[in-house]
Amino acid sequence: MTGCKHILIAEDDSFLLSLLELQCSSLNMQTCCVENGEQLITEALSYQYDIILTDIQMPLCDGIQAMQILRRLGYDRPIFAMSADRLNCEGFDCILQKPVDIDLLARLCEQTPQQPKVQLEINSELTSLFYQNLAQLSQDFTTALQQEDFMTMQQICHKIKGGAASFGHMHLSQLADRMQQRLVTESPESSILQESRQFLLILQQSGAGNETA
Amino acid sequence: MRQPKILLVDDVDYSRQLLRNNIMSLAGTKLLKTRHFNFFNAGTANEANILFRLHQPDVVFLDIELPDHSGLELLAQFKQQKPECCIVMISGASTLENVTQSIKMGAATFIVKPFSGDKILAAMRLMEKQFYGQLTQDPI
Repeated sequence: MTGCKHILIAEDDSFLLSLLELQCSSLNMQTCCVENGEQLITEALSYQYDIILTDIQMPLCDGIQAMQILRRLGYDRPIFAMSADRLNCEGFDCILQKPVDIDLLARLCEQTPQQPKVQLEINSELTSLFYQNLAQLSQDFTTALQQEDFMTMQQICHKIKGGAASFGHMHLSQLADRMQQRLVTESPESSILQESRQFLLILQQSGAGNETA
Repeated sequence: MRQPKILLVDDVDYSRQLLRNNIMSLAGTKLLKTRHFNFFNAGTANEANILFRLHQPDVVFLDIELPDHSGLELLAQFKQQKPECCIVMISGASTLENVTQSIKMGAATFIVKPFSGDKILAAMRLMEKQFYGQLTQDPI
Protein backbone atom coordinates (compact mmCIF):
# COMPACT_ATOMS: atom_id res chain seq x y z
CA MET A 1 0.00 0.00 0.00
CA THR A 2 1.45 3.36 -0.98
CA GLY A 3 0.44 6.96 -0.34
CA CYS A 4 -0.05 8.96 2.80
CA LYS A 5 -2.61 8.30 5.49
CA HIS A 6 -5.79 10.35 5.72
CA ILE A 7 -6.69 11.89 9.06
CA LEU A 8 -9.94 13.63 10.01
CA ILE A 9 -9.44 16.22 12.75
CA ALA A 10 -12.38 17.61 14.75
CA GLU A 11 -11.70 20.61 16.99
CA ASP A 12 -13.82 23.71 17.62
CA ASP A 13 -10.88 25.94 18.62
CA SER A 14 -9.70 27.35 15.29
CA PHE A 15 -6.16 28.04 16.54
CA LEU A 16 -5.68 24.49 17.84
CA LEU A 17 -7.27 23.11 14.69
CA SER A 18 -4.80 24.99 12.46
CA LEU A 19 -1.91 23.86 14.65
CA LEU A 20 -2.97 20.20 14.49
CA GLU A 21 -3.49 20.46 10.74
CA LEU A 22 0.05 21.81 10.31
CA GLN A 23 1.53 19.16 12.60
CA CYS A 24 -0.27 16.31 10.85
CA SER A 25 0.71 17.65 7.43
CA SER A 26 4.33 17.72 8.60
CA LEU A 27 3.92 14.01 9.45
CA ASN A 28 3.04 13.43 5.78
CA MET A 29 -0.64 12.91 6.45
CA GLN A 30 -3.50 14.23 4.35
CA THR A 31 -5.83 16.19 6.60
CA CYS A 32 -9.47 17.19 6.67
CA CYS A 33 -10.67 19.53 9.41
CA VAL A 34 -14.14 19.96 10.92
CA GLU A 35 -15.36 22.12 13.78
CA ASN A 36 -18.22 20.20 15.39
CA GLY A 37 -19.54 16.71 16.05
CA GLU A 38 -22.19 16.80 13.33
CA GLN A 39 -19.61 17.53 10.63
CA LEU A 40 -17.40 14.84 12.16
CA ILE A 41 -20.12 12.19 11.75
CA THR A 42 -20.92 13.20 8.15
CA GLU A 43 -17.26 13.25 7.11
CA ALA A 44 -16.42 10.00 8.91
CA LEU A 45 -19.25 8.22 7.09
CA SER A 46 -17.55 9.03 3.79
CA TYR A 47 -15.06 6.26 4.84
CA GLN A 48 -12.14 8.22 3.38
CA TYR A 49 -10.11 8.37 6.57
CA ASP A 50 -7.62 6.01 8.17
CA ILE A 51 -7.70 7.84 11.51
CA ILE A 52 -10.08 10.22 13.30
CA LEU A 53 -8.70 12.61 15.91
CA THR A 54 -11.43 14.37 17.88
CA ASP A 55 -11.76 16.90 20.63
CA ILE A 56 -14.35 16.13 23.33
CA GLN A 57 -16.13 19.41 24.00
CA MET A 58 -17.58 20.63 20.69
CA PRO A 59 -20.84 22.31 19.62
CA LEU A 60 -23.91 20.49 18.20
CA CYS A 61 -22.62 17.08 19.24
CA ASP A 62 -19.59 16.42 21.45
CA GLY A 63 -16.73 14.05 20.65
CA ILE A 64 -18.03 11.25 22.88
CA GLN A 65 -21.54 11.36 21.36
CA ALA A 66 -20.09 11.49 17.84
CA MET A 67 -17.87 8.45 18.56
CA GLN A 68 -20.82 6.55 20.08
CA ILE A 69 -23.03 7.31 17.07
CA LEU A 70 -20.29 6.20 14.67
CA ARG A 71 -19.66 2.97 16.61
CA ARG A 72 -23.40 2.32 16.70
CA LEU A 73 -23.38 2.67 12.90
CA GLY A 74 -20.66 0.03 12.66
CA TYR A 75 -17.77 2.42 12.10
CA ASP A 76 -14.77 0.26 13.07
CA ARG A 77 -11.82 2.43 12.07
CA PRO A 78 -9.52 4.03 14.71
CA ILE A 79 -10.89 7.03 16.62
CA PHE A 80 -8.48 8.93 18.90
CA ALA A 81 -9.79 11.42 21.43
CA MET A 82 -7.91 14.43 22.81
CA SER A 83 -8.91 15.96 26.11
CA ALA A 84 -7.53 18.38 28.67
CA ASP A 85 -9.31 16.41 31.41
CA ARG A 86 -8.82 12.84 32.51
CA LEU A 87 -11.21 10.73 30.49
CA ASN A 88 -12.27 7.12 30.76
CA CYS A 89 -14.54 6.22 27.91
CA GLU A 90 -15.02 3.01 25.95
CA GLY A 91 -15.07 3.20 22.17
CA PHE A 92 -12.00 5.32 21.55
CA ASP A 93 -8.86 3.54 20.39
CA CYS A 94 -6.73 5.97 22.34
CA ILE A 95 -7.21 9.04 24.54
CA LEU A 96 -4.51 11.68 24.21
CA GLN A 97 -3.86 14.31 26.83
CA LYS A 98 -4.09 17.92 25.65
CA PRO A 99 -1.84 19.59 24.58
CA VAL A 100 -1.25 16.72 22.19
CA ASP A 101 2.23 15.22 22.22
CA ILE A 102 2.91 15.21 18.50
CA ASP A 103 5.61 12.52 18.76
CA LEU A 104 3.13 10.21 20.48
CA LEU A 105 0.51 10.99 17.83
CA ALA A 106 3.08 10.27 15.11
CA ARG A 107 3.86 6.86 16.64
CA LEU A 108 0.17 5.99 16.96
CA CYS A 109 -0.53 7.01 13.37
CA GLU A 110 2.44 5.01 12.16
CA GLN A 111 1.10 1.91 13.92
CA THR A 112 -2.37 2.42 12.40
CA PRO A 113 -2.79 0.51 9.15
CA GLN A 114 -3.84 2.33 6.01
CA GLN A 115 -7.37 1.34 5.02
CA PRO A 116 -7.77 -0.31 1.62
CA LYS A 117 -9.69 1.83 -0.88
CA VAL A 118 -12.53 0.20 -2.79
CA GLN A 119 -13.36 1.82 -6.11
CA LEU A 120 -16.97 2.28 -7.14
CA GLU A 121 -17.73 0.09 -10.13
CA ILE A 122 -19.66 1.89 -12.86
CA ASN A 123 -20.22 0.21 -16.23
CA SER A 124 -21.47 1.71 -19.50
CA GLU A 125 -25.07 0.55 -18.96
CA LEU A 126 -25.17 2.35 -15.62
CA THR A 127 -23.59 5.47 -17.09
CA SER A 128 -26.20 5.46 -19.85
CA LEU A 129 -28.99 5.18 -17.26
CA PHE A 130 -27.50 8.10 -15.34
CA TYR A 131 -27.42 10.36 -18.43
CA GLN A 132 -30.97 9.41 -19.41
CA ASN A 133 -32.05 10.39 -15.92
CA LEU A 134 -30.05 13.63 -16.10
CA ALA A 135 -31.74 14.54 -19.40
CA GLN A 136 -35.15 13.94 -17.84
CA LEU A 137 -34.26 16.00 -14.77
CA SER A 138 -33.03 18.77 -17.05
CA GLN A 139 -36.41 18.83 -18.82
CA ASP A 140 -38.27 18.73 -15.51
CA PHE A 141 -36.15 21.59 -14.17
CA THR A 142 -36.93 23.66 -17.30
CA THR A 143 -40.68 23.17 -16.79
CA ALA A 144 -40.46 23.87 -13.06
CA LEU A 145 -38.45 27.03 -13.71
CA GLN A 146 -41.03 28.28 -16.23
CA GLN A 147 -43.74 27.74 -13.64
CA GLU A 148 -41.54 29.12 -10.83
CA ASP A 149 -42.22 25.90 -8.94
CA PHE A 150 -39.44 26.21 -6.39
CA MET A 151 -40.38 23.07 -4.47
CA THR A 152 -39.93 20.86 -7.55
CA MET A 153 -36.70 22.68 -8.41
CA GLN A 154 -35.39 21.91 -4.91
CA GLN A 155 -36.29 18.23 -5.27
CA ILE A 156 -34.53 18.03 -8.64
CA CYS A 157 -31.40 19.68 -7.22
CA HIS A 158 -31.47 17.18 -4.36
CA LYS A 159 -31.54 14.25 -6.80
CA ILE A 160 -28.74 15.70 -8.93
CA LYS A 161 -26.59 16.37 -5.86
CA GLY A 162 -26.82 12.75 -4.73
CA GLY A 163 -26.22 11.15 -8.12
CA ALA A 164 -23.86 13.37 -10.09
CA ALA A 165 -20.84 13.00 -7.80
CA SER A 166 -20.84 9.21 -8.21
CA PHE A 167 -20.49 9.68 -11.97
CA GLY A 168 -17.61 12.15 -11.83
CA HIS A 169 -19.69 15.33 -12.00
CA MET A 170 -18.39 16.78 -8.72
CA HIS A 171 -18.85 20.37 -9.84
CA LEU A 172 -22.46 19.77 -10.90
CA SER A 173 -23.13 18.02 -7.59
CA GLN A 174 -21.72 20.98 -5.62
CA LEU A 175 -23.69 23.46 -7.72
CA ALA A 176 -26.88 21.46 -7.19
CA ASP A 177 -26.22 21.45 -3.43
CA ARG A 178 -25.73 25.23 -3.41
CA MET A 179 -28.76 25.76 -5.66
CA GLN A 180 -30.93 23.61 -3.39
CA GLN A 181 -29.90 25.62 -0.33
CA ARG A 182 -30.55 28.91 -2.17
CA LEU A 183 -34.00 27.70 -3.23
CA VAL A 184 -34.85 26.92 0.38
CA THR A 185 -33.72 30.25 1.78
CA GLU A 186 -34.31 32.83 -0.98
CA SER A 187 -37.52 34.60 -1.92
CA PRO A 188 -38.76 34.46 -5.55
CA GLU A 189 -38.12 38.22 -5.96
CA SER A 190 -34.39 37.83 -5.48
CA SER A 191 -31.80 36.85 -8.10
CA ILE A 192 -32.76 33.20 -7.71
CA LEU A 193 -34.43 32.96 -11.14
CA GLN A 194 -31.32 34.21 -12.90
CA GLU A 195 -29.16 31.77 -10.91
CA SER A 196 -31.57 28.96 -11.71
CA ARG A 197 -31.25 29.69 -15.45
CA GLN A 198 -27.46 29.57 -15.16
CA PHE A 199 -27.71 26.31 -13.26
CA LEU A 200 -29.98 24.88 -15.96
CA LEU A 201 -27.40 25.75 -18.63
CA ILE A 202 -24.69 23.88 -16.74
CA LEU A 203 -27.07 20.98 -16.20
CA GLN A 204 -27.85 20.79 -19.93
CA GLN A 205 -24.15 21.01 -20.82
CA SER A 206 -23.32 18.18 -18.39
CA GLY A 207 -25.82 15.94 -20.14
CA ALA A 208 -24.85 17.10 -23.63
CA GLY A 209 -21.16 16.42 -22.88
CA ASN A 210 -21.94 12.74 -22.65
CA GLU A 211 -23.98 12.60 -25.85
CA THR A 212 -21.04 13.88 -27.86
CA ALA A 213 -18.53 11.65 -26.02
CA MET B 1 -26.76 -22.00 3.44
CA ARG B 2 -29.48 -19.75 2.05
CA GLN B 3 -28.68 -16.59 0.13
CA PRO B 4 -29.36 -13.27 1.89
CA LYS B 5 -32.31 -11.37 0.40
CA ILE B 6 -31.72 -7.68 -0.26
CA LEU B 7 -34.45 -5.12 -0.95
CA LEU B 8 -33.20 -1.95 -2.67
CA VAL B 9 -35.51 1.04 -2.17
CA ASP B 10 -34.70 4.21 -4.12
CA ASP B 11 -36.78 6.20 -6.59
CA VAL B 12 -33.79 6.67 -8.90
CA ASP B 13 -33.24 3.67 -11.20
CA TYR B 14 -29.51 4.08 -11.60
CA SER B 15 -28.99 4.37 -7.82
CA ARG B 16 -30.57 0.94 -7.30
CA GLN B 17 -28.59 -0.46 -10.23
CA LEU B 18 -25.38 1.05 -8.89
CA LEU B 19 -25.94 -0.52 -5.48
CA ARG B 20 -26.78 -3.89 -6.97
CA ASN B 21 -23.75 -3.89 -9.31
CA ASN B 22 -21.35 -2.92 -6.57
CA ILE B 23 -22.72 -5.41 -4.03
CA MET B 24 -22.39 -8.17 -6.65
CA SER B 25 -18.91 -6.98 -7.52
CA LEU B 26 -17.85 -7.04 -3.84
CA ALA B 27 -19.35 -10.51 -3.51
CA GLY B 28 -16.93 -11.67 -6.20
CA THR B 29 -13.92 -10.60 -4.10
CA LYS B 30 -12.48 -11.79 -0.79
CA LEU B 31 -13.79 -8.63 0.87
CA LEU B 32 -17.14 -10.30 1.61
CA LYS B 33 -17.98 -13.83 2.76
CA THR B 34 -21.18 -14.00 0.76
CA ARG B 35 -21.01 -14.88 -2.93
CA HIS B 36 -24.67 -14.65 -3.95
CA PHE B 37 -27.63 -12.49 -3.03
CA ASN B 38 -31.27 -12.33 -4.07
CA PHE B 39 -32.26 -8.78 -5.01
CA PHE B 40 -35.64 -7.04 -5.09
CA ASN B 41 -36.19 -3.48 -6.33
CA ALA B 42 -38.68 -0.84 -5.24
CA GLY B 43 -38.97 2.73 -6.54
CA THR B 44 -41.67 3.87 -4.10
CA ALA B 45 -42.61 3.30 -0.48
CA ASN B 46 -45.75 1.44 -1.56
CA GLU B 47 -43.79 -0.96 -3.76
CA ALA B 48 -41.29 -1.44 -0.94
CA ASN B 49 -44.08 -2.29 1.51
CA ILE B 50 -45.51 -4.95 -0.81
CA LEU B 51 -42.11 -6.50 -1.55
CA PHE B 52 -41.14 -6.48 2.12
CA ARG B 53 -44.26 -8.37 3.17
CA LEU B 54 -43.87 -10.79 0.29
CA HIS B 55 -40.16 -11.63 0.54
CA GLN B 56 -39.22 -10.75 4.16
CA PRO B 57 -35.73 -9.52 3.15
CA ASP B 58 -32.68 -9.85 5.41
CA VAL B 59 -31.32 -6.47 4.36
CA VAL B 60 -32.95 -3.27 3.12
CA PHE B 61 -31.09 -0.35 1.54
CA LEU B 62 -33.63 2.40 2.15
CA ASP B 63 -33.50 5.93 0.76
CA ILE B 64 -34.96 8.48 3.19
CA GLU B 65 -36.31 10.78 0.45
CA LEU B 66 -38.98 8.78 -1.39
CA PRO B 67 -41.71 10.34 -3.55
CA ASP B 68 -44.71 8.93 -1.67
CA HIS B 69 -43.55 8.54 1.96
CA SER B 70 -40.53 9.20 4.13
CA GLY B 71 -38.05 6.35 4.36
CA LEU B 72 -38.10 6.86 8.13
CA GLU B 73 -41.78 5.83 8.22
CA LEU B 74 -40.90 2.68 6.30
CA LEU B 75 -38.00 1.98 8.65
CA ALA B 76 -40.41 1.93 11.61
CA GLN B 77 -42.84 -0.38 9.79
CA PHE B 78 -40.12 -2.79 8.64
CA LYS B 79 -38.53 -3.04 12.08
CA GLN B 80 -41.96 -3.76 13.55
CA GLN B 81 -42.60 -6.53 11.01
CA LYS B 82 -39.11 -8.04 11.17
CA PRO B 83 -36.93 -6.69 14.02
CA GLU B 84 -33.85 -8.67 12.97
CA CYS B 85 -33.83 -7.12 9.47
CA CYS B 86 -30.66 -5.11 8.80
CA ILE B 87 -31.72 -1.72 7.46
CA VAL B 88 -29.21 0.62 5.83
CA MET B 89 -30.55 4.16 5.54
CA ILE B 90 -29.44 6.27 2.57
CA SER B 91 -29.64 10.02 2.27
CA GLY B 92 -28.13 12.90 0.36
CA ALA B 93 -28.48 15.06 3.45
CA SER B 94 -26.98 13.60 6.59
CA THR B 95 -28.17 15.89 9.36
CA LEU B 96 -27.48 14.85 12.92
CA GLU B 97 -31.25 14.63 13.39
CA ASN B 98 -31.65 12.19 10.50
CA VAL B 99 -28.80 10.01 11.71
CA THR B 100 -29.85 9.90 15.38
CA GLN B 101 -33.49 9.33 14.50
CA SER B 102 -32.52 6.46 12.20
CA ILE B 103 -30.45 4.88 14.98
CA LYS B 104 -33.26 5.26 17.52
CA MET B 105 -35.65 3.60 15.11
CA GLY B 106 -33.35 0.64 14.64
CA ALA B 107 -31.34 1.34 11.48
CA ALA B 108 -28.09 -0.64 11.31
CA THR B 109 -26.13 2.07 9.55
CA PHE B 110 -26.36 5.14 7.37
CA ILE B 111 -24.93 5.84 3.91
CA VAL B 112 -24.46 9.45 2.89
CA LYS B 113 -24.77 9.98 -0.86
CA PRO B 114 -22.84 10.11 -3.15
CA PHE B 115 -22.13 6.38 -3.07
CA SER B 116 -18.58 5.11 -2.85
CA GLY B 117 -17.10 1.62 -2.85
CA ASP B 118 -15.89 2.08 0.73
CA LYS B 119 -19.32 3.10 2.00
CA ILE B 120 -21.05 0.15 0.35
CA LEU B 121 -18.41 -2.27 1.62
CA ALA B 122 -18.75 -0.96 5.20
CA ALA B 123 -22.54 -1.43 5.08
CA MET B 124 -22.23 -4.93 3.61
CA ARG B 125 -19.70 -6.00 6.25
CA LEU B 126 -22.06 -4.84 8.95
CA MET B 127 -24.86 -6.74 7.23
CA GLU B 128 -22.76 -9.92 7.16
CA LYS B 129 -21.93 -9.57 10.84
CA GLN B 130 -25.64 -9.39 11.68
CA PHE B 131 -26.76 -11.99 9.15
CA TYR B 132 -24.21 -14.67 10.07
CA GLY B 133 -24.60 -13.80 13.77
CA GLN B 134 -28.29 -14.69 13.45
CA LEU B 135 -27.45 -17.87 11.56
CA THR B 136 -25.03 -18.93 14.32
CA GLN B 137 -27.71 -18.38 16.94
CA ASP B 138 -30.51 -19.90 14.90
CA PRO B 139 -29.19 -22.12 12.08
CA ILE B 140 -31.44 -22.55 9.05
